[in-house]
Amino acid sequence: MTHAPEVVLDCREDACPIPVLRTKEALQKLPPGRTLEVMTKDPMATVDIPAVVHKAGATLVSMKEDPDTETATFLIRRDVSPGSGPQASR
Amino acid sequence: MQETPQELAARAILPALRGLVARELVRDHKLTHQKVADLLGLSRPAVTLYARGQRGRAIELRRRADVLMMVQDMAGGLARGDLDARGLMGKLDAAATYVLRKGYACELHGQIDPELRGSGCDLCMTATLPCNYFHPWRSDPHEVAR
Repeated sequence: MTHAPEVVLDCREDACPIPVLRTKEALQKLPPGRTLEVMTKDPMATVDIPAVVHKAGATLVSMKEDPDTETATFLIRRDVSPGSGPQASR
Repeated sequence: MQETPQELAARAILPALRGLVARELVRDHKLTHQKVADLLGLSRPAVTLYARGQRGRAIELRRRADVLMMVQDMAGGLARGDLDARGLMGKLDAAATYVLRKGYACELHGQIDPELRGSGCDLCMTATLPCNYFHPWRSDPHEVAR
C-alpha cells in the first residue's frame, strides 16, 4: 500500500529542536486520516519525532534514513478514531 | 571585556527568553502577572517589567521565528500544566544554547568584546553542548518506545 503524504514538511535546514516543534505544530493542524511527511537532518529527530508522534496520538507509518544525504524521512498518519482530532495532541 | 558564551547566556539570553515566555503567558494565555510569576519562579514586579519589555532587552530575539516557536512551546506547556519548573529550566537552557549555536548572540558578544569582531570567532558554535531541548523524553527510553 502506498502512502502519498498530503502535507510535506522540509526541515532539512532547521537545527534541533525546530524540526520537532514544526512537526508538533503540523500534527495539531493535520485532519484525521491525512498523512504528513517530515524530512530532517537533525540526528536527534530519530528519537524525538517518534516520541512526539506517539504523544499526539498519531501513527508513525515509516522512518527512512539516507546516509548519503544524512536525511531522515518520516511518514506520519493522524488516525481516524475518536479523540484523534487536533485537540488530542494538546 | 571578555565574556564567555555561558556568561553571555546568563546575562542576556536567558532573561530575554524568560521575558518572551512571560509576555506570551500574559498576552496570549491571559494569565495574571502573579500566576506567571508563580510559574516562572519570579517576583510579580519582575513579570510586570518583562511583560512591558522593560527587562530582558539586552538581545533582540522577538523577530526570530525559530526562537518564538520554542517560546510558544514553553508557554503553552506551562499554561496547560504539562511543563513543570524543572522541565522549564531544561528547555530554557536548551533554548539559550540554541541561540548561541545559531550565532544570534554574536553581534552582542562583539559589542561587549570588540576584539571578537572580524576575528572569525566561532566559539559558540563549537564549544557549546548539543541541543537537549527534549531531554525529559530522551532520559526516559520507555516513554520513547511506547
